[in-house]
This record gives sequence, structure tokens and C-alpha cells, in this order.
Amino acid sequence: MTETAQGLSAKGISVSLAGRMVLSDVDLDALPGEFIAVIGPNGAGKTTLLKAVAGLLDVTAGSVAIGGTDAAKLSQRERAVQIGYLPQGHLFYWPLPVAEVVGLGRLPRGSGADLSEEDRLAVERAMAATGVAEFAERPVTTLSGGERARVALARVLATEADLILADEPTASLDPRYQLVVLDILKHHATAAGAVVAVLHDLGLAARYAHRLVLLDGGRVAATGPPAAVLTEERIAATFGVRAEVLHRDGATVVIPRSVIP
Amino acid sequence: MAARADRRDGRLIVGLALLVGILFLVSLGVGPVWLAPPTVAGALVGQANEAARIIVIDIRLPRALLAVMIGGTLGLSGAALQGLLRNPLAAPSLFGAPSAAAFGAVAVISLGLVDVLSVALPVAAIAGALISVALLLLVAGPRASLLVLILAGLAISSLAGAGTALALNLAPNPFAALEIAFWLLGSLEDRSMRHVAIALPFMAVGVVLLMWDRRAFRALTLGEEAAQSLGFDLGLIRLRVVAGVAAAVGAGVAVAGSIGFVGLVAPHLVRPLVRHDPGRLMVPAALSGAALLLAADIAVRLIPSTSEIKVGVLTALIGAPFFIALILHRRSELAGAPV
Repeated sequence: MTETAQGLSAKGISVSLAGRMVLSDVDLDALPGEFIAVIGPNGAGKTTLLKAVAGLLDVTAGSVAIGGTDAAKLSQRERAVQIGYLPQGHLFYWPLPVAEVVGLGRLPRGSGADLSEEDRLAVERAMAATGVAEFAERPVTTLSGGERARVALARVLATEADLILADEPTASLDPRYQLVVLDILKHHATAAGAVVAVLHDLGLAARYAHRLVLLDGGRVAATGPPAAVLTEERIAATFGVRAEVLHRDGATVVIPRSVIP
Repeated sequence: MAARADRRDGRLIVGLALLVGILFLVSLGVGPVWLAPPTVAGALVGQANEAARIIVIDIRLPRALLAVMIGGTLGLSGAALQGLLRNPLAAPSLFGAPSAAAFGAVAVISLGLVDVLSVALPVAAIAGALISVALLLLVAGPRASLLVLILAGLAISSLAGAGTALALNLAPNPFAALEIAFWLLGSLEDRSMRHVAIALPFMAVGVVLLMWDRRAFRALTLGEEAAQSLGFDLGLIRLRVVAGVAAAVGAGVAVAGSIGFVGLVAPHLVRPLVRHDPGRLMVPAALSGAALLLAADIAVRLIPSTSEIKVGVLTALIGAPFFIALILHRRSELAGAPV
């Protein structure tokens, strides 16, 4: 963990997909201990930013450093050990038992179908942290949406990467599971590393994140503490929504009122 | 957990290997002249009379060896394609690889470039299979749905079929045409150790390539992006699987014509026994394929008929309805599949 003391630092990220600039000159930093939420309207480039940082697509410009090392110098395997990436949708294509799915998180550590003692402990910890141990032997495809989301998260935790990139980890979850998942991520951030999560719920983003990065049209429209980023003017300008922003007990609450025509 | 998984797979693999072994010995005993297991065993170690030795070693051994090799690599190809595409309906024959391999082989035969015992034949067949699978992935794109893949496979299969038909059409004489047509049906009859030797190196390369990405197939359970984020280079994996399937299927087609559906059925039969793990599936799928083709090749010798039924015809007769049943079973799921 010491070698990643500097966390994530992405500078001037630009990505063009099919000839269209999807991201231009985006900076994204996550210090150890930080929970960063990336917010913004649909099509703002949030998922693209996460994929660019994870090394899943080629950037046209910019650099990513993880733990002070240029990510371009890392092999795919080395990068996989340092970054846990949770894609959207929590899809599973084969009905593997839950414990086996969580064990897949150990693949970058060099494990095949048979786990070492160290792997087994990491899998157990990840399953305990996400509360999926009770259905460890059930086929993953038979689980409910909330259970699958936690299994997907457990798989990412099992890698024991310092940095976790989570793309809409709370999408299509009921309020309880949204909090459960965000609590787990927040715990990871404060205990072990850093978390960057794409979130659509501005209220949850404000509650959980230390800092917000507001993307709009592929550029950073604002970044900083939630209260500073989430102003009524800025929400109107980026989301096209008239919203009421309340500050209560140190929390920021966003109530979308109407669509700006 | 680790040791438990180990032992369970170990038992399964030993069990399947025993089954293959028994079918192998039966295959050596069955035919116009029936030989009892002790006679077969004796012939194998040089303890039987001359006639039995010739029947077992020269006539039936190459046939049984080819059944194991071709069935095994077809099972492995099916398991690898299913792992790569994350879909249990994927198989080499659905994507036109055997038809393209057959066209490659027929093209060089009918042009009179080679005789049927040349090493150039598997090379041509493998080239055909390689072009077809590469074309398929190119046409369908990296994120293609199964529907797109199957449609593209159908188109490629039709094109290769048309090419083969053209070669038959332009055949110099009816005997040549008939010879090609029979060869296309897929058979292990009258094969020699020469055929085994021709196919073996290509199949060995295919097996190595297909076994290479077992861990990646497991990671692909989570989808392509997650697999990539776990450190797997999907571009390279796709290339290896394409090359492996082409080498295995091409070599098989070159020595035995096209034998379909083993690659689809074999992984399916053993998948529940490895708890649907696409990585652990590989070796059992290969053994299951070998057992299936051995059994089919024994069956064609037992079914009373005026001329022996070609084993490729039998696997298609059994495999196609199996495929239909599989589609029926997964109909609702397929209806919701993204196009």
C-alpha cells in the first residue's frame, strides 16, 4: 500500500471515439482515503473517463499515474492489481457459484480455478464485507438485483486493489442497497485506498463523496467539495433542471423541481 | 475450497478418460470381423495372430485415434468459442468454419494441386477455416450479439458451400465429383496412420492455443470490460482462439471431412459437472467430444445398412435435433438478447 501512497492522478485526459471528442482535457485526482464522485448528465463522458483511467480504452492525450507511477509503463496485469474496476450493469454470463465469481477478483494475483490460502482469505473477507457469504454456493444468475450488485462489488474488493473505479454502482438498486453499497465503498476509501464512483443521485453523491467532479459535454464543469459544486445555477446550467439545494445538518440535499425548457 | 475443486475435477477427468478408453477398445473390436477384448488387447501388444493384428493395428487403430483426436479438438474448440463468446450455443460449425475448411480442401483437390494424402491438404483446410473465423469476427465486430454472429456465420457457410458446389460442378469427371461428395460427408473409414500423422501436429498446435486462455474464459464470465480490467488482453485472446479453432477444425476436416455438432454438444454435456465454470470445462469437454465421436463411429458400424453410414451424417442427425432442443430450452432468453 505504501507504493500507492499518492493515489490516482489523471491529467489532461482527452478521448475521441469514432471521430467525436468525448472527453477533453479532464483532470481527475483521488488521494488515499478519498471518495470521489463523478457526476453529470447522460452523455457527459463519465463512463468514458472511468474506462480511460482504468486503461480500457486509448486516450488521445493526457496521462494517468497510479501510486506515482505512469500507468502507461504498467503491464495490464500490474494495472489490474492496482485498480479494481466495477462496470455498469452487474452482468454475469455463466451461472457460477457466488464464491467462484468473487474468486475471479483474484485472477490478477495469478490464481487459476484453485485458490491459494491467501486468495481464499481475501475472498472470504470480500464476501463478509458485502454480506454475500450466506449465498456463497448459489448460482450467481439466480440472485436478485441487489444481491448481484453486492456480488459484483465483492469480486472487485477481492482483488484488494487500492483504487476502486465504480461505474454507477447503485443503479437500479432500492434505497437500502444503495446505502449498503456506498457504505462499503466509503469504508474501502477510508480504510485502504481511494474510490472514484460515477453516481446519478446527486444527494447520495453529496452525502458520500469528499469531492465531486461535475462533467458536462466532456469537460470538467466544476470540481470541489459537494456544497461548492452543487449550486442551483450550476445544476440548471449542466442538467437543465430547476432544482432546490438545501443544506441541513452539514448535508447537501438536492430536490429537482422542473425541467428547464 | 481449492483442494475440493481439484479432487472433484480430478475424478471427473479420470472418469471421462476411462470412458474414452473403454470406447477406444470397443472401437478396435467392432466391425465386419468382431474381435473380443482379449484379442484386441493381444493385438495391441503383438500377442495375437497376423489377421487380428492387421485388423486392429492397420485398419481400426488409425480410425479410433482419429476419432479421439477429432472429437477431442472439436469439444475443445466448442468450449473455447463458448467461453470467448460467453454463450453455450456457440460452436465451430455454426460459424461456418468446417464448411470453409472443406472448401479450402476441395479447392486444392479439384484443382489437381494435391492428392488426398498431402500435407498441403490440411494447410489448405486450415487456411479456409482461419479465413472464415477471421472474416466472421471482422464482419460481426468485437461486441457482436450471438444473432449477428450466427447470421454472419450462415453467410460465410453459404459462401463456402457455394464454392464447394462450384468445385463439384466443374469436376473433371463424375467419379471425381462423387469422391469429393462422399469425402465431404465426414467419415473415419479406411484411414491410415498417415492421416493421423498429417493431422497430429496441427491439432497439437490448436490444443495449445485453445488451452492457453482458460483463465481468461473464467474472467469473461464478468463481461469483456471486467475481463480486460482483470488484466486480460482480449485482442490477443480472440486471435489465439480463432487460430486454435482454425488449426483444430481445419486439420480434422482435412483428414475426415466435415463432422458437425460435436463441438456444440460435447461441452454442453459436461458443463453442469464443472458447475458451469468455462475454464474448468475445457479438459472435460475435450474428453466428452472424444467419447461422443468414438461412440458415433462405433454406431455407424453397428447400424445395419447397405453401405456404412458416414459418421458426419450421424453426428448431424443427432446433433441438429439436440441443437433445436437447446434453442427451445433457451428461447425466452434468446428472445431478449440484444440484436
